[in-house]
Amino acid sequence: MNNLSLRQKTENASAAQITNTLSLLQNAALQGWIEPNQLTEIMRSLEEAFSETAMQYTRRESSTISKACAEHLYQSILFHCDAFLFQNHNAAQALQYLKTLPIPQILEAGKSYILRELQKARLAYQGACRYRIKVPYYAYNYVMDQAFPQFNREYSARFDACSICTAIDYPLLCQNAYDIQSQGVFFMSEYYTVLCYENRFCVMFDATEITALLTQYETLYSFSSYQDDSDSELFCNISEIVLHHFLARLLNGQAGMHLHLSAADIQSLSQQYAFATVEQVCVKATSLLCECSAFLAHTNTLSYLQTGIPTFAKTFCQHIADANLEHLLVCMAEKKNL
Amino acid sequence: MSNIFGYFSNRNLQIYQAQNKILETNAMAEAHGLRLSAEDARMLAEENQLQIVRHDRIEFGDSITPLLIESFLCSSYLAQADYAETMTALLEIFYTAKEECCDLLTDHEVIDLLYHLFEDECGGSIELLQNSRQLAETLRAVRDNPSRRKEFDT
Repeated sequence: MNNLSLRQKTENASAAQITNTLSLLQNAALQGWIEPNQLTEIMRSLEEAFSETAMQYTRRESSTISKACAEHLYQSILFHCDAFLFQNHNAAQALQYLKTLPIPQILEAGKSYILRELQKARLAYQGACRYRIKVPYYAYNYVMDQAFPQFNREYSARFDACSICTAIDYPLLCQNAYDIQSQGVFFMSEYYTVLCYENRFCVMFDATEITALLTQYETLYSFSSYQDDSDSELFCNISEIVLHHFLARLLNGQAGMHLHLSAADIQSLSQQYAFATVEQVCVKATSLLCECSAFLAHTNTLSYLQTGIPTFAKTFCQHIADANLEHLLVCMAEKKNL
Repeated sequence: MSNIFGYFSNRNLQIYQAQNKILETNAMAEAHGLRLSAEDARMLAEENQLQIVRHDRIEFGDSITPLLIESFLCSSYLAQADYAETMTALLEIFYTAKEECCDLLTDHEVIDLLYHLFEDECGGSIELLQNSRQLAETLRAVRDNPSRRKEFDT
């Protein structure tokens, strides 16, 4: 089979299904994209890699390991393959590499890729820390103070490459953490990169103003603390609440990096946008956000925040239609000079 | 994942290779008046595979059986009459012990522990070793407090 027809067939045949080495090998075997002897040779090489990894894992002091442990090690090996074959290549290219490159070379390249990504994840975390906001919210503080250090301590690129070794629940602006498809160090890198953008955005505002907003929000939605002196259980994305209020202020013609909205402001917004469509709100909010000079030096942050605008516009219009905009935007006590 | 492990199960070849390795121990065993026949060696190789499956384990290196045999050759309680049977029973005890200590002891450490108990506490009785309270307590101590492993390393 020539490369072109192979590419067409792999692209046609469930590209969504073929997202890792194992599914690629299974599809290749079933569809006849690979010669049986080539497949046997690949499996033999993977078996050798597994044996060597298992020996390293036991420091060459055991001849057997539990099946559960073996599965972890094998998943790690396959993750090394995935890291090289699927990060920048489609299924057809990945299959071509599998057929032409020796497995040890693929595994080494994958391992190097993972180690580079580990460095990227560490830098992303440092960036997120540089702009961290001081708020008494447990889920946020956990990902900022404990989750990454635990990952950094326990992550093994060799033996457990696809794990994150910690629990991350704090949601991001546009998605829940558990909706992120990538695994292991790629997950951490992706998560902390966007968390860095979110923090960068939030530090543009006064921390006390954010805390006041979140406290109001918490009261509105009845979140409670475990104890009086512990962090709040508020479980929603902080930058999302901040962005919604900031965009609402922009739509209301209020300049400056503030979040305060009065009852009159919310009333005014309801009247101004009573007949606006989601698309119109989306376009206007995007335009107003792009005009903010605060984002001039932070184009990545601006691009990231723009991904949150469609959701805001949809929710905003829905609440106006339902005549309950005050359920989306928190009305704060009057403050002078805002 | 189960498909992947299917590629590891070239069982006949593994048993044949293990059988040959077991037969090689005869060179040392003969000095102690002990010898395994080809049938005994095959039975031990098969027993090893059986125990691996029974204990839900994967073998990736050389079989443990030759090491186990060589470690017990110095025992004053081994006799030609029940040599193969004793080794078969030891394999079962070995894999149970590995499981009980959650792999916190190495192969050598488990074998040393079994040899010490077999020689000094159980008087060469496999039944006593299988039901040894000291063995159970030692393995539990390792499992519950991995730092105690150091005590067995020395």
